[in-house]
Amino acid sequence: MKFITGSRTSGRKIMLAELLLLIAMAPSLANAEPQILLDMVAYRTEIVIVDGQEVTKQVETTTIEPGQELEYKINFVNEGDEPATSVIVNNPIASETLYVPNSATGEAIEFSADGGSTFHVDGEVIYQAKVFGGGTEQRTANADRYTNIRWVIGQIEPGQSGELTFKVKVK
Amino acid sequence: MANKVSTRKWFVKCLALMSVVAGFSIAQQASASTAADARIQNRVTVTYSGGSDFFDLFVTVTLVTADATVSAPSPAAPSIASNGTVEIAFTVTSNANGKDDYALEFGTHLCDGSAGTCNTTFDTATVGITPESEVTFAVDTVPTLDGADVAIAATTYSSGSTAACQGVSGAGCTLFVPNDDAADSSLNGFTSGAGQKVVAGGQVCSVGAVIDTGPQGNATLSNALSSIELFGCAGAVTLTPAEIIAQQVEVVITFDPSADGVPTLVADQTIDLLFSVTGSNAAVVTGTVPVTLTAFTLTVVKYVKNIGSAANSNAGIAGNGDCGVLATHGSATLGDAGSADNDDDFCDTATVVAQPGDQLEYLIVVSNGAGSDTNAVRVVDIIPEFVTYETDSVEISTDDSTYNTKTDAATDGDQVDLDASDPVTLYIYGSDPATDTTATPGGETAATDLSAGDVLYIIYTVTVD
Repeated sequence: MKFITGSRTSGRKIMLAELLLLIAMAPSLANAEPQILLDMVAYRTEIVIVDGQEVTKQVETTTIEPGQELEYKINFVNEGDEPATSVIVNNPIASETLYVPNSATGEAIEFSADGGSTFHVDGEVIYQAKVFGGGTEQRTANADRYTNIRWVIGQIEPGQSGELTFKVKVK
Repeated sequence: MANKVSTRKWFVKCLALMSVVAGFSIAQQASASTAADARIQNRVTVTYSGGSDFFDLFVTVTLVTADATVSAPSPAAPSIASNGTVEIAFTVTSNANGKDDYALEFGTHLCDGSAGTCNTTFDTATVGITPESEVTFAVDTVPTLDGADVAIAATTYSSGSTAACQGVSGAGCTLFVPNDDAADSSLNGFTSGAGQKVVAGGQVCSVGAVIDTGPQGNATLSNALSSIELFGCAGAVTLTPAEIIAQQVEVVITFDPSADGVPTLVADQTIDLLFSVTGSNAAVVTGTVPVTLTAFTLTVVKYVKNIGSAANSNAGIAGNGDCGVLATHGSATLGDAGSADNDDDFCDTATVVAQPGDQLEYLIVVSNGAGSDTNAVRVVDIIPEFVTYETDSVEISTDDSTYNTKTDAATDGDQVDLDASDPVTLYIYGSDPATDTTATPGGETAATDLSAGDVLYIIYTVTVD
């Protein structure tokens, strides 16, 4: 597992009583639950000259220029002993960036244009637009209005891993 | 920061640029660009039955430099006296997405027309410089553009809320912008300070408080945003997400030809004042301000008329009087105003007839051109043979209306000195000397100036021997 500049914090809060219970039951429960770990790397497209030919190359990066595209690669793995169910991977799109149309890979991809309240498949994403004179009107969102991307994966078997990618363009 | 130019190196650079740059190269200001040093946070979260995990990745936006926008200078083509000064102002507006340091350089060169690339109107003979030679110009202190732009935060808009500065004109408002990489009270170069200007939403605004909340990097949280207070915007601000908020610096240079090494001119000349604006990685933006220097144009004309005498009234004899010159001249105290033969008129010809005993009035008119003040003016007039100068007869006017009597002594504080030794010589200064202590007639030099456009009328009387 590789960490570039990211940080990990467990999303689960463990109470003291629960901790004591876990320690007491440790021998029997140690491997009896799913545990999904995430990792993510950002790539920048660079054009390099190889033997006089321009070759596009994806380079791991921690810096980017406005107007350039970033590709995020998300790796997941179930390190537990049980299958994980109802698995959803959610990634808000940073406000400094715009989602690049049709760039997401992976299965069961959905998008939101309202900050994650509602999700729909690509091309059917809706949002409430303010209209002149007051009130709102439901409209179909273009890719540059997407605020979230998520993968509704469902079930991940123990030891199963996978890769999800998408691209954004820096404003 | 002092910015002394006119090194040889810069001169050569200017010469090279002059061949390719015509007028101003003005870069278009970029419309949208995330601020340099902003940190893009991407957080991916997984949820599943019984657990969750998330991972944060930060990517820092780097500076993309771009040519600054340089306004046309004002005035574009000034004309000044060769011993005057002119202030030339223009604005430099940053186009980078973050702090970028710009250098400004000014200078010019003089050479004769034969060099081709040089100032073709410059006349070698009049300034006494050799072809292609360089005259060094010192330049006033100019500010370095410590310029800086940041982009406004897109979150302000994507959340559907209205930016505090949207549509604001004149009144103060707060503009939220992404954080830069350090909590140092400087937001991508912006600091709280009087005189700072920005171009925001197409309007020039003044900058008030700058709040730098530091490198928290999470632009999705409003408390992680830094802010810039704007006020006094020229018009209603219209902002779009990620639009550059660019610092604008006004640069004023003072060109003082005499202090800056321009030789004394005897004819009007145009000198190209060159400047360049350079960002750390951007192309050089150059411009030229042609400055026309008007030279000293002092002219002296001498007239005479016969005013006759008590014993010998010859003022009206044939050939005397009406020679049609300086017809507007009229002094009740000196002329015979109203007499039929028009002998108020002074003549600048040799046709005036006189007999021994007649008195002649001489009129000397010294005119300074509109172009330049002239310093240390001194008229030297040798009294002709066969006439005798009338003691203390000099009267001087600056308007040909009010004449003031002057005395001949060398140290009497007025602008007339008489040297009575042979040949009898009158010295008349442009004005009463600031100090008049030199016993030698005509020896004063201090502050005997004629301003641009001034005219000096000098009248004195002699008697024909």
